[in-house]
Amino acid sequence: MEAIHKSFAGGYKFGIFEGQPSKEIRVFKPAGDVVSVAIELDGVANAANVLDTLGRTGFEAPVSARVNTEGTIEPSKVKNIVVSTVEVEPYNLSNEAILSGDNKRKFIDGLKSIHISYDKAKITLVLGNNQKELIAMITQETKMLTWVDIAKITAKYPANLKELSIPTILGNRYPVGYAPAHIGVLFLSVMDVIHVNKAVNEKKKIDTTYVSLSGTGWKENVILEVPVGTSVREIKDAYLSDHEIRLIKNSVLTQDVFEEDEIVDFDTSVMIALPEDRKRQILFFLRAGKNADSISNSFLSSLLPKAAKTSGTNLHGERRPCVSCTYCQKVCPVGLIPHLLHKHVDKEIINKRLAEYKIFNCIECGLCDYVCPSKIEISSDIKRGKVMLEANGISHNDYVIPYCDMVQEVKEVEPVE
Amino acid sequence: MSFHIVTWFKKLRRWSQLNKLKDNRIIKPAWDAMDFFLKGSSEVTLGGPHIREAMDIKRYMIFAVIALLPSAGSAVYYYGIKAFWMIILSYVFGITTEWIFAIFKKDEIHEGIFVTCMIYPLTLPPTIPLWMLAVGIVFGVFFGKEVFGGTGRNIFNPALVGRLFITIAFPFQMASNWVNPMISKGHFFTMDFSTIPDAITTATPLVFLKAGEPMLFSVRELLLGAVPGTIGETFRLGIIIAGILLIITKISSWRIPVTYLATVVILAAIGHALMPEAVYAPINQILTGGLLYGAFFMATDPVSSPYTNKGKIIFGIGLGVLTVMIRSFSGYTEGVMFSIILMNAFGPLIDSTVLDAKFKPLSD
Repeated sequence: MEAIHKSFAGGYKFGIFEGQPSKEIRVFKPAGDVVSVAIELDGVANAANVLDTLGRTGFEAPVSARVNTEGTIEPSKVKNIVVSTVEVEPYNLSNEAILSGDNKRKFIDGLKSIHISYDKAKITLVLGNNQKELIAMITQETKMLTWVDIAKITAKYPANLKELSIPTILGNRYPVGYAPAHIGVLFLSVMDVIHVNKAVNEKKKIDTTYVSLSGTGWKENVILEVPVGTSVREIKDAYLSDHEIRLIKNSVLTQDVFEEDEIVDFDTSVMIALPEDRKRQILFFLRAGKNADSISNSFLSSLLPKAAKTSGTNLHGERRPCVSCTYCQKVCPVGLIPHLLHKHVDKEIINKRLAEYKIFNCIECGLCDYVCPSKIEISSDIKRGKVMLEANGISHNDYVIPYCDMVQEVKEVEPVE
Repeated sequence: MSFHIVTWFKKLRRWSQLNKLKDNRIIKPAWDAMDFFLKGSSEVTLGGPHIREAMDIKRYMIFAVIALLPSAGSAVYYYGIKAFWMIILSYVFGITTEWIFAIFKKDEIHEGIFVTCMIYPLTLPPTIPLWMLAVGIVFGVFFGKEVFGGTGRNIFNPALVGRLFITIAFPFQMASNWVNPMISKGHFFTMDFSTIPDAITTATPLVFLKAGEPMLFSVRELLLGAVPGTIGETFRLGIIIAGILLIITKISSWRIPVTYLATVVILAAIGHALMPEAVYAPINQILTGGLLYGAFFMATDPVSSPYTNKGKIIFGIGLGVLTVMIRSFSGYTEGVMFSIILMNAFGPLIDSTVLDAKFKPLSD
């Protein structure tokens, strides 16, 4: 089947950062106790049960929406299943590494099991157009499966986020803040499909997952096969180097650091260790920047796309007022004007106009913060603006929900006094 | 090189009272500016995106200054040491004004001043008295930028506000004192520029055209800058190359210069066909006066120009129309400065009109 190609405006293509793991997968055997979170289903397990247990079919809504989010979507109401293999973040779990060897067959078998449970749903595999080998492999493997569509998407961040991927692929609107189940869509990763296969076809306990150790804070950059429930501290003790390190869960752009006593769960895919980079670099702004990642072409790195980019938590500049350079406007994947929203929220101009500037459409991908040369916390301001608007009685329900095709009747629940 | 400066500073600090000085209310803004400038940031991200790209506002502004260096170099080449002192004095007075404001506002010195102080002297005629230049930059930074609230809030380009002020205050020195390049040397240390004649010795190409005379200069001369004019606007080849560099590096947007120049060319072509006496031919429009300098360096100022893409195009078209109108039908020979100042005033209106069309209110 010929793959359809979808592109979207805005977005940003990251350079290749240093600290990318090798494709080798290593089995990690924890010495200490493993918290029991493994999923074991009885003999009649089907894909829907597994995805329910993994938490992929639940409803979820912003707190201010006061929507009933109990239960999971019925298989008959699922119209689309989107399986994303897009890798556009600075650090990703490599699908190519996961799908090597035996896992390729397991993935295809998992897809078949999902098709049996959700026979009315169309399954779409989303690939980034930069993953040539993966595209060739998956096209080859799914040739016989008529119920699978393959969609290629422009390999720019945030093509991996459900809020952007689903509307781009399916051509609908996404209710930002809600789970995909609300519009009859399931958004799955490659690992989810492999887990389904393990429980349904192999009738085994789902007890391990893959975690990619990325970033320059690790002694080695490898992909680990870890029993779920392993304490994060144990992996830290075994692999983290001694410096002052920030350990981030899954995404350097949208996610936060690991909690003190966190365990590896089914949502853990990448562990990013970045050195806390407080070192002052002399005349930083005048450097040629062979290893600098930037939206501007003012660094030498724009002529050397293959050179690995340095990553660290340094702010790379001083905080300054906005000069309307429009970088945030250029990268915004949903067509907002982030600096305008920032200025409104900063001056506490919280009114209807802010909602009309589509602040509720912000998917909080963090790109505006990343590219801002004045180092303004734009996305934090936008989040704050959303909360303040809701507090002022201007709700996202009026600006987001009417434009989306919601499967589940959005039922308001009585607020708890 | 930079490393030596820092060790030198450390030594100096050890045997002097510099450490105490840096907390002084008056010294602090300048100290911090030097500190940030030399050593880079020690701050780390607060969360949210944990990594930030390498571009900062210093590099953003310094690239604009670098793009102005060919013009500055040609100014010194053609008009001797006086041009050099004009640029230095512009920096001294501009930064001092910003510094004084930073002391009173308990704020930092922001990097935009480096661009303002470079753009401004290059728009002045070579015969200008230096005190007049100082008055202009102080006025420009004060009334063009600081009274609006500083960086990011000014409606007008501060360099142009300064130039506009001295154009209106001292029309004779600003509009009719031109000299041929390469005749004036001056003396570096005594700042004795007496060899530079201050009487009218020639006129700019635009003055000749306005008087209905034919163009005396070849395209090559106009491109390389061997023609009378303000000290920075004549090396047009350098301006074009530097302007394109700014667009390629994504420091400035292509929309404003391209629409500005295209509008001038189209209007001049139509106008020249209809009224050859009033409207000069497109090539003469582009290669005379401050059009290229204004289009690439002044109209593209991100703060005072519109930020919406459509707004930028409207802005560029407006600039082109105004420039051709002023050059052709007004008493002034040059219209670039007036058009940019006027369109700056329209900037917020253009943006809000574009925003109103893009983000419509909910229909009830």
